[in-house]
Amino acid sequence: MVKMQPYVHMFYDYLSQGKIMGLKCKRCSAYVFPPVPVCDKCGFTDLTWVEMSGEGKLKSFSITTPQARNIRFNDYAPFAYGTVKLKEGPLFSAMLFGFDIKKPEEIWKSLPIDVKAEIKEIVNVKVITFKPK
Amino acid sequence: MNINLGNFKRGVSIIGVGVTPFKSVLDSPEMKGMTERELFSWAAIEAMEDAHVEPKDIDAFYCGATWATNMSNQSHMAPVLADWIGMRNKPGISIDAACVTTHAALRQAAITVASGLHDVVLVGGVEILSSRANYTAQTKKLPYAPSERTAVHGEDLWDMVSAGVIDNAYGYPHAMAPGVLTYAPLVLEYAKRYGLSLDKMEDVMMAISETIHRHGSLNPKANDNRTLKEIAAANGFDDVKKFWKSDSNPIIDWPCRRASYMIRADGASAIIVCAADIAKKYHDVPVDIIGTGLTAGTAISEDYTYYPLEASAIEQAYKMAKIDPKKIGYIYVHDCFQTAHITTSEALGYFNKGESWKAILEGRTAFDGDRPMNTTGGRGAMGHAFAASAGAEIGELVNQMRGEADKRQVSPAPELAVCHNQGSGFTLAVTVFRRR
Repeated sequence: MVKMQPYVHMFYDYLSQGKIMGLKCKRCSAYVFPPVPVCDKCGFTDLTWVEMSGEGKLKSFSITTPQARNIRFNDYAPFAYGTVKLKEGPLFSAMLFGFDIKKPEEIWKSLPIDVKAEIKEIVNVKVITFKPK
Repeated sequence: MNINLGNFKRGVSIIGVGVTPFKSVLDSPEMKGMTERELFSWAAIEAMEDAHVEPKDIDAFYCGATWATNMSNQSHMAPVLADWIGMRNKPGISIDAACVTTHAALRQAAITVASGLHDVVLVGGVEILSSRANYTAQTKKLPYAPSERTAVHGEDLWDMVSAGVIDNAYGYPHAMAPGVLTYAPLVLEYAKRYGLSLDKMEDVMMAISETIHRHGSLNPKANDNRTLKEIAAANGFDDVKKFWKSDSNPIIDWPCRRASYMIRADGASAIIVCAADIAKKYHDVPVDIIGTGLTAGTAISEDYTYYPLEASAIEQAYKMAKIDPKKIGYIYVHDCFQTAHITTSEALGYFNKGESWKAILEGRTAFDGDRPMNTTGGRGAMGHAFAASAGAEIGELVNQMRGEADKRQVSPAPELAVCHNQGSGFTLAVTVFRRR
């Protein structure tokens, strides 16, 4: 029997409570993040909610300028944005704070960089961002 | 020579192509006042004439438009377009794959022909990005008029595109946008991997832009017919390099600059395929489809220079085609963001890993070089009419193979070519073509 849950709603609900929640596969133990009903490693559908550590390594990034392609984020531009490999395995891309974006070459030369997740309210939505650990 | 497609018992050939100009329905004289319907049927009729077929000869069609819903309040286009191309009550359906639409539609058409279900199938795509129809929700205060449109500013277009093609649940709220993953980070990773300075990478990006604008200046259908030198001059610069590094060519996503990004266009494209064994009835020079690959997923990767979404599509296509990549004579790499010229060309085996940048600097990727690519001018000069762009490039590829690419003709005409398209969201398609 299929036990579907409102994953997107729950994900953002947890974020508004200060928790970054993902899923863990009961068959292969892989972490499924962001949450979806099917394990992307082995295809199993029995997954448990778990709190993520928020720790990871920044693997790549860029800096979006005031000519941002999303006008939604214009007030924040320029901002850094990158892909993080979480400690638990999954990749996630998000806004980066706490880096000196006036020296992007130095950020580039230091990759990969240890980062930690921080929940921030961005344009009225609590979302995951990352900062240097 | 076995020209069957993969394990099918039939081959598939392209016998006709049609591409409208990629301009603006607001103010370009050749398409002023047109809707998606006129553009689509223009390309389709051109393809039919090229293939020497009439609608009665065509068994089915696939079509698509990425933004007709938002820009013109028109979704579910197949039934509408059926009437406009003389295909009422024949099998027809829309394909929804962003910038891959016409390429994915071609793949589906090829599969139905190879399976024996159909003998002749038409594929087409259309896009209007300059403007919104006056009766859409967004412009509801304007007087209703079925063919009137109002200009849409670039910023509004991008916001809509970002929200629409990127995953709305987990991507968009976290500031994901087309281009933030597989483009600027690509330059940084490639530079690090091969020990190149960012100054050198900037030279490479400028050389790519120079080449595509050279091609655009030789392509009457391109939205921008200026060379990079003319663009620099229009911005008040005698020296192209000074223009490149100026505020007139600002950094959009560090370290990539605006001239490395796409420009929009309104336009349509169409391709007609048929069973390989009857192709010569319609056209003297059939172009056979010998391999195709497609992936749907995310581009998110630990390594953006060679990432799984792309690698898998290439692998599928090459496994089916059984070719030696060194024999490829022409490629199109999807260049919404021109970084793909560097890495996708290598992923396709057109260059050895770590060598494309040198070839680009040496001008070898121009139509008159030994490793030609993107001879329409690509998305930065021909322009991007999302759903139609892949078809326009396949059209150019076919013309190159036939020796009909006019001032951009690759010499000798290529016998083996590959087309690569990527749509944000993400979809990625790769198809291998061989001239009979």
